[in-house]
Amino acid sequence: MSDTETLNLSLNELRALLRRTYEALYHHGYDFLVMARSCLWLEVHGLDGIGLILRSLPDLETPCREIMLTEPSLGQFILEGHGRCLIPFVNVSADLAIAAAQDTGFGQIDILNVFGRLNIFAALKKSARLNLHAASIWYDAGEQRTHVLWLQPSKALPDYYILNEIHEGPWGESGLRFVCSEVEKTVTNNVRAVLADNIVPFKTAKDFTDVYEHALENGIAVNRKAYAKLNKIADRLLVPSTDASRQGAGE
Amino acid sequence: MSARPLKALENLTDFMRPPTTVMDVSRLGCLYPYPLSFMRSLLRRVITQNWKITPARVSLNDEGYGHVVYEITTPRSTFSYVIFAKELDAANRSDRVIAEDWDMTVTLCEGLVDDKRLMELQANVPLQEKGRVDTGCFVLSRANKSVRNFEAVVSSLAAGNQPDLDSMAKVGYLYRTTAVYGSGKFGMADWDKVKTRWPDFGSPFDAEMFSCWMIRHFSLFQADYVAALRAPRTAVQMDEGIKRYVGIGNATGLGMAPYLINHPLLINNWIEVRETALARVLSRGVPDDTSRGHFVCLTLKAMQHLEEITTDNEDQNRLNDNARMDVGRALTWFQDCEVSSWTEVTDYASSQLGVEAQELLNVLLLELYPEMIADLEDQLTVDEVYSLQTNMRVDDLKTLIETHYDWALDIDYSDPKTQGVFWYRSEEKMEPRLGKRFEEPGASNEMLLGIGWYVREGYNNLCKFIEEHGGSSTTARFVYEYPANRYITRRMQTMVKTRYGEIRINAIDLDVLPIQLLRCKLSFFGVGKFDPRSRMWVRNTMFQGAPLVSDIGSDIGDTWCFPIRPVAF
Repeated sequence: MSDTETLNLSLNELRALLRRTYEALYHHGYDFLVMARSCLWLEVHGLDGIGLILRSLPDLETPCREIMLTEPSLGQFILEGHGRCLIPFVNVSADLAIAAAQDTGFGQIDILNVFGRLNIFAALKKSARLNLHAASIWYDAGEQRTHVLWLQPSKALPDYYILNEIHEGPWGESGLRFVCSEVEKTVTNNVRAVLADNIVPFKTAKDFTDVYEHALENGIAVNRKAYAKLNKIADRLLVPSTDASRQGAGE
Repeated sequence: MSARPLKALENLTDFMRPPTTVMDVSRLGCLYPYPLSFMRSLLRRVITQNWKITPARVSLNDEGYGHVVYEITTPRSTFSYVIFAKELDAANRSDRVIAEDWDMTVTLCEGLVDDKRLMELQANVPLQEKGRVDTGCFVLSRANKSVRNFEAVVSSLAAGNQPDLDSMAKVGYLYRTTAVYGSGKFGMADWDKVKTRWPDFGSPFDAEMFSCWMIRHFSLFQADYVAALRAPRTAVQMDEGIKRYVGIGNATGLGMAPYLINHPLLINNWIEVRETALARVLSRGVPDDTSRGHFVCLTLKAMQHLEEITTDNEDQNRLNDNARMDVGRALTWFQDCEVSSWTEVTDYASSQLGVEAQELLNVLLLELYPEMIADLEDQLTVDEVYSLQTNMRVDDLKTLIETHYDWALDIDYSDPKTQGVFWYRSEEKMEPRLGKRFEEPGASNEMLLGIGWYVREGYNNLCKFIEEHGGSSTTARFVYEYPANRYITRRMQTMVKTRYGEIRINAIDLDVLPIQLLRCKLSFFGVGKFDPRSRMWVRNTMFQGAPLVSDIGSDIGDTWCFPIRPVAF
């Protein structure tokens, strides 16, 4: 139930708000519907999607798209993010690796110098729908921790590991690697390079499913201040009402 | 993506009409309710499953104001339908979505309602958009009185007389709904929860339709109730035959139009089910003396129904008159020849009659064989996923657009008229509105509804991309270069796999007629008696002729299509 601190929203209500928020930020410059869905997934799976948006706002409000893509070898991409938030280009980046995996059996993209890396979550969910094996790995220099999202065979959602250790890799201090493949072993090899056998996930696919089911049953408690901030952005889409505009409603 | 809807529901190819015919918006704007319309399906289930609907709490004053809680017992669960009725200042009575006060507000919720729950609902339901409910509720709605009609009916009943049938024929309802919310609005349960937790309301818009039916029920109850208290010695209850003729009014505006454009997979599915039903009847139905006689009776009933519709809209009157005359011609032709196949009727209609009459005759054919199509009502839901096929070659993507979206590419967007309007959300309750692009401010906040325009933009960029990178690049590469086209690309890739695809409308044309979209959707709801008030909103009547709550448990049939005025008694 709602209280003074939080407001209980349905998933659909939050989805609609996030769509309007992204639409207000980008109009039709990006696929705002899928951006909203990605954020919703994070939120309903307990990964603070709303917080990620709000923390990224100064960057999201800056329209310039400075990223640069290279493909040093077939199906293996490097994207230089120049310190930008991952949200606007996470889907088109993951698309490249997924297309390569579907074409050649393996796809990989290293996204460098970005923040908001948990937004890659949706790409693993998409990989599951396409029967691909997938994982994403990054380390957080500030926290001194390594993060692994690993989509296990036949699962719709990844397991999420957080290791209190640094695993340096081509992703650097603020990048990530996303790999996907038709072959399980290819992805497993990437994951096992940083993840020992005996590590317990921070959250399992089942944990995510349970959190989602709870959200569907009971709604999502959203901090009222965060809700107000999102609405303030979303309301930029609203057009002032005039006599002429009322005629445009059929009066 | 859910696999089933992307394939034809069954192999009836020779009898299925093509998308070029079916998805033309001017034809979709001529659709009539049919046996699988949602309110028809819902009431069949309510009646055959013998749902129990009983007033558990009635707290009304002499004028019928207060609250009523109905307890609804289905084979699976118990629900409550909670109504708050109040005296409304006439100055505040508005059918517009921007209204803030109503004669009646309602909610449908799971389980029974105790005092605490009732207080929570009472504090929020009458506020509608400004209130909050919880995930135990799954419909929030409101209705306004047709004051003149309600008072006339109560006065008649109080005086011991039945309502004047001429007035009832003209108006047809005591209350009008002005908004019916579901699907998680204002804190309610999400659709995914409703369809899994409460399968009694698991078909599209079941709960919303049920709510409208209950508003109608309460409107009739309230009229009897007030009349009885106003004149206890003389008052009579309304005759049940007349009650069935009383529907529930509805005002539908632009808000419904974006839904059809934003849910193309779902709409394709609804259309495909409908066309499959028609194809089944055309392929399997064999005219015999019984079905021919039934067809004649239904046609006469439909003609009378059209004749009895009165609206102030001259265009609609003309449409109704033309349809009635066309159908009359078809009836004369039909009675002069002994058809051996129902396709003879549809062929005749296609070659001789207007589109309204063609679609009306299609519905009459569907009414002949309810058992032949009944199973299709379970196929109206679909999981909507519009997934990007990342590895599709851009050459293939280009061909696909040229083949399936030729209707969009044919629009000449260099002509300002073809993008003369834009859709936007007003600051007044986010009401969708139409603005003139070259005259009014707000186009920069345009809603993404001009699908044809986005197809054209995507296609132009794709051609440019192919020139630069060649045709063997992937779609992923294309949308990386043109992220603004990612949405329209995955939408097109998805819709080309469907049988019917998109509604063929240029929604940003200066002369766009949103009421065509409204009527299309309302026909799937089961709504008839369209009374357009402008090109942007329409009044109509729901559940006219439908069974009453008191009919549950009786052997009343599903024969209430094209309701006609009851015979005077």
